[in-house]
Amino acid sequence: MYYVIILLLQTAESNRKLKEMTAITELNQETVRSMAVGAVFTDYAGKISSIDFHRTEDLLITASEDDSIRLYDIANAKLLKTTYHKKHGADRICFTHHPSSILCSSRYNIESTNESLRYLSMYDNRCLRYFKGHKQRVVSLCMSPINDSFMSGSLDHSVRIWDLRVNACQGILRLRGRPTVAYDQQGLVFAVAMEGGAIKLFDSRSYDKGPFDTFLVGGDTAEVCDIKFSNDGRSMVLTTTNNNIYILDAYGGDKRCGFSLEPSPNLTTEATFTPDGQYVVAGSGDGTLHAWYINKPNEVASWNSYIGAVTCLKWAPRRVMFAAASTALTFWIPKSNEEPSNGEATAGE
Amino acid sequence: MALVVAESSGALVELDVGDSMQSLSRLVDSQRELFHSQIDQLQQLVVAQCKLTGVNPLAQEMAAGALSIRIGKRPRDLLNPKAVKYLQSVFSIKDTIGKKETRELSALCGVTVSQVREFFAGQRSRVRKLVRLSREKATRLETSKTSNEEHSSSSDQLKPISKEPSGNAADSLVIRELKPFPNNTETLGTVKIDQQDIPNSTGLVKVEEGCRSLSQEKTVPGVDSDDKEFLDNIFNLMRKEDTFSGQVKLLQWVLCIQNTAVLIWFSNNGGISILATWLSQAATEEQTTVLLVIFKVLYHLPLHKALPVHMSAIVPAVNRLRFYRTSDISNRARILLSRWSKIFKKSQALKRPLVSSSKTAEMESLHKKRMGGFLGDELCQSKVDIPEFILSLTGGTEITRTTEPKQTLKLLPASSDSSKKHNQSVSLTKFKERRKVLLVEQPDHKAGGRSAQVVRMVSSNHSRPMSADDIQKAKLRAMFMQHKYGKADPSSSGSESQKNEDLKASSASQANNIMSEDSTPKQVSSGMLNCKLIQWKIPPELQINVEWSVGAGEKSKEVDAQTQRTRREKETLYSRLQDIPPDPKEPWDLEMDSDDSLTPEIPTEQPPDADVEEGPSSSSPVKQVDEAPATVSAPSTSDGAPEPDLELLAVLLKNPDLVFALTSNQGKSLSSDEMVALLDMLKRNCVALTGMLNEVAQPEGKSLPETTPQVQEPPASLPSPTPPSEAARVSWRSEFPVFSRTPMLQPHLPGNRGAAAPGLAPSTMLSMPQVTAAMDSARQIFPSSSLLSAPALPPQTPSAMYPMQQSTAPDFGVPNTAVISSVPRHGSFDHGPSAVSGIPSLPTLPHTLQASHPPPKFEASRAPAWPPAPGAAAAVVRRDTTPDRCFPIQNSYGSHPSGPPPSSHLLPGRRRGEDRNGIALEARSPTGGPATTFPELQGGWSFTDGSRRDSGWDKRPEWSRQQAPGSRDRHWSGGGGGDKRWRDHDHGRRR
Repeated sequence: MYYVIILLLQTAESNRKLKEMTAITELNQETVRSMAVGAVFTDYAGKISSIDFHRTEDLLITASEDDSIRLYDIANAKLLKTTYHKKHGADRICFTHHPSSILCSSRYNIESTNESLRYLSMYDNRCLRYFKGHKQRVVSLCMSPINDSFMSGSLDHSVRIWDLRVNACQGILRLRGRPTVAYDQQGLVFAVAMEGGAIKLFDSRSYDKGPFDTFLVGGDTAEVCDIKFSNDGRSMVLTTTNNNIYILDAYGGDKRCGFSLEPSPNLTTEATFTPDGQYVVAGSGDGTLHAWYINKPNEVASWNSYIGAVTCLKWAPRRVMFAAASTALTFWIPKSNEEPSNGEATAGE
Repeated sequence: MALVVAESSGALVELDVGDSMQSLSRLVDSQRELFHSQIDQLQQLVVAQCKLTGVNPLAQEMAAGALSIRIGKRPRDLLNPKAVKYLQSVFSIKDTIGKKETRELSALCGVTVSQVREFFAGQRSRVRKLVRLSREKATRLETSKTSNEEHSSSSDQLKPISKEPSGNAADSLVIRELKPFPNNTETLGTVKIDQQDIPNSTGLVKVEEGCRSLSQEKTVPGVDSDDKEFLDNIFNLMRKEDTFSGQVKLLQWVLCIQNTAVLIWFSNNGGISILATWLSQAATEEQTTVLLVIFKVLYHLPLHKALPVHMSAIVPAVNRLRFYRTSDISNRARILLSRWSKIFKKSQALKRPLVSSSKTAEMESLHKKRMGGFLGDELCQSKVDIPEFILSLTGGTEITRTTEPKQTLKLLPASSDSSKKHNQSVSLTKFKERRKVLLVEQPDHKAGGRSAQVVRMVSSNHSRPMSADDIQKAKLRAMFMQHKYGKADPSSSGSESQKNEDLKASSASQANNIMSEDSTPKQVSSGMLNCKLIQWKIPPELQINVEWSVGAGEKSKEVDAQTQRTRREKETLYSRLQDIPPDPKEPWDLEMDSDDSLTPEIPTEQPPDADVEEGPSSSSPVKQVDEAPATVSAPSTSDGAPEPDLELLAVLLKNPDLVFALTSNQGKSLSSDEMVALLDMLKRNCVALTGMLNEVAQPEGKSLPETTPQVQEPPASLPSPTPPSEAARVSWRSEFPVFSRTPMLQPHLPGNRGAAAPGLAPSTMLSMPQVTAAMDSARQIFPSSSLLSAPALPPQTPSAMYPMQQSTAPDFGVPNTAVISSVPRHGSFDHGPSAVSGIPSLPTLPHTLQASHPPPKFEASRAPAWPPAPGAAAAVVRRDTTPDRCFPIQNSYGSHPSGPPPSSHLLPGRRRGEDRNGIALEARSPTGGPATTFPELQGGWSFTDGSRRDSGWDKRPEWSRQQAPGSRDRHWSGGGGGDKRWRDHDHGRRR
């Protein structure tokens, strides 16, 4: 009986796999290779410290060291709004689920005000809520993909879990080293990176029980400064402070591949998955960008970033487009006309 | 010099005939002498006049010279040299200008309109005079020259040819003319006139041709001195030649010359202009033979090396001949023109490479397409320029004129520079647009416009039907003129192609996204970005695989809250950058700071035992508590096996010792009243759970309600010493979970996060079939039923049961009946009611089954199934082995001793029956049984005594099962064998 059920489950799974294969939702290498700068925004007075795409809308938010937060329309490459945050500054930033609400971490006055995290609305340029708790700068901030909880990792060696709707902290995780946090794209699991390259995985619904798994990035003593999960949930990409990039199996923690790029001193950089989870794009300290195909690890493309060493790099969640930023912001789009056909195919699916 | 003068004075008289070069030089010398003497005479005259009148007769002239003013045409002479130069260059293109052009020229040169007009009028009259004079002079010179030649003894190419005309009878006139001239050579007047005329004419030529003519006189390298001499002569002759026959002869002479250098020299030094004159003359006089010869000469001359200025003279004439009446001539003219156009294209192509414009090729192709065999690419020596192209397109007539803009372009380097800049930086379309704008300012466009008008004039002058070329030309001209003069509304002015380009440009700039307007200038200014932006287009969408269930805030409440808030609030927009406040607005209401000390701390270390996926925080007490309800519920609800138990089991099964301790402890906790409440809750849960059974896929949501009641249960402390009586419970406790959960374990153990949930489904479902199966066909179904432990269980079950069963088999009738009778008893007994109410299905089922099936089944099944029932000893051995086997298979089988029991306990009927027996026996077993371990019996006691519902429930199958053998043994074989077995049983369990 049980075997029958298992069998059924297996067939279901194979069916799903079959379906996945027939649905064309993937980027081909030519498309990735054809990416080129389609728009540039150079009116920043400082480095761009973080960028984030909205999960569903065609929006991008940037936080810069010039204390500005800017909202862009990525479909038309247009600056929609600019706000300034002279008192608190703008460091890490991320969208909530509402298209005009964002979370932003503060750069200044954290000790005095304790207002290390702000919940802002770009709609009427208002601060909606302060989240107090972190004693130092927040270096990692991420929003749950499904609900209202979000996480912040701070230099005060703690990770806090919050809910947008209340200013009380929902949980605190004390650890050593610089924490980096990330939710997986399904919102089931979150990962916390801590000293020594240890990645702890938590069940996002029962995180109070502690991590259920621990991965170690072997051989690299550098701190992990960025974690991202692929959309398919199979892989995660880690970027270390000395700019090594590791792609791990998100279930088992096995290192699938690793790439070493030029480190960019005093800068943290980012690597990003494409939405189909097949490619990883990362910026090198020498001002180049690289893309790899991770299933059969090989470099697909490398570009000149034109803006020096890239500090922020994110692929749009639902577009063939990525944004790279240093002191300028660039939007990269595919050059050729292959994408429409691809897009049609995906639409057909 | 003095000697020469002295000689010449004497020689003047005998100058009459120069024999050779010597005589010629003598002649020149004598003329120079004469000139000097005349100057002296003039000086003397002036001095004398001055003395006589007291007034300097040349005062006016001298003053004018001092003031650099020439007497006579004052206004024109006041023109600045640049303007004069420019006007002359314009004049060289065309001698009549319209009012508009006049105005433009005056504006450009900074002179008055009337000045320009007068300049042109004056120039025209001068040219006319010049032409007349040159003609006269030429005839004179020719006659004198020919006469000279006749007398010269040098044997040259020239000689035979020049002799030919003289010998030609047809041209008697010429001969006659020639003859008197030599005789006239002695007259100073003619020589004087000639001398004066020559400089005069060259000066005029200079005026006409601008600065270029100065360099004309320089010697051409590679030309033999002889050839040069002949060509010199030829020029003289040609200038003199008036008659067509003489012209033909001269032309034939030219045709004989093969030296290209000489020909180039000839063409560059005015030969072409003479040819042009002749051509026009012949055309007007309709001298077709002369025309043909001229064409031949033109073919012969290397005109690609000719100066454009000369070409400007010849091309219009030839062009006009394209419409000549005689088809022969017109054809030749056309062929000639097409050939020239090819030549010029080639030469231009050679020059092209210097021009590093990507457009060149494009424009050229366009040009070729449109203009076919037209001339006019030569202007590419100047920068690639659309207007110039357009000029060239207007036709062959102004090919050469268009070259003049070159000079004017030089005058305005700024504009060309700017255009160059655009060429580099701006996109193609923009560049074009720029060029179009520049066109308005560039002087050469005016020239072009003028020439276009000329073309129009010319074509309209022709009475012949317009050719397709003409129509095309007219179109282009119209387009260009529109372009040029209709600049007020550039959008409508352009040609179609231009318009298209404009449209493209504008649309491109529009499509080029709004952003480019903000960013491109910035980008340019930043300088960091030297990349070339590709044109922005909306990046294509990328569908995310739906199967991945990538989150998009589905469970977010914040979105709604914010949407509502934004509906209430007014959107804040800042029109200017300066309006943006330094900080955002503060929150409406400042919230109380939350107490951070209350923040729950999340462990960062994995729980020690949680190598299984569900490690988190499974504190052992909770688990024990969980286990109790689990065990209770498991038997009661066949379907609703609670999920949390799975986890507990997983842990517990791994640590049988712990389980033992805990469960034994639980016996105590169960005795409290809280357990009753717990049980009720569990029952409720079970009911609820049955409904949820189908949606097993979402384990988490259900597990929560379940766990809470369990947690509420007072955590049982762990008493390390376990009283023997409790041990019994341990055993059955463990049995039950094992039985019902063994299947569940398997999904668990692999430890897939995701698999844990599905694992439940089989487990719960299995419990049902198991029970029912058990009802139907006691043990036989067990192996068949897809229990995970199926391989393990079957051997166990027989081992556990056989000894007893075999022994009992014959007597079964008795227990069975007892069973039936026992049912009511149970109810009265204790737990029965609660159990039944809690889980109606099970109790009833067993009962009914017991009533009907058991008796036949037991006999039927047992007898055939295990006929070779092993002896007690064998059974013992087997039993020992089975647990061992199980352990490795499933590491959680620590509590496997329970493995056997389930099989027996599945037969409730029998159990019940045995229960009763058990009760009877129980009293005896503690006493009669081996003192060491008979926990089951103890348990049985407690059960009867305690009358705890749950315990009774739980216990019933268990103790009955366990007692059954005992009781049977006692019944039948007596205590001895049974004891032994029991002991083994216990051992096995403990293991």
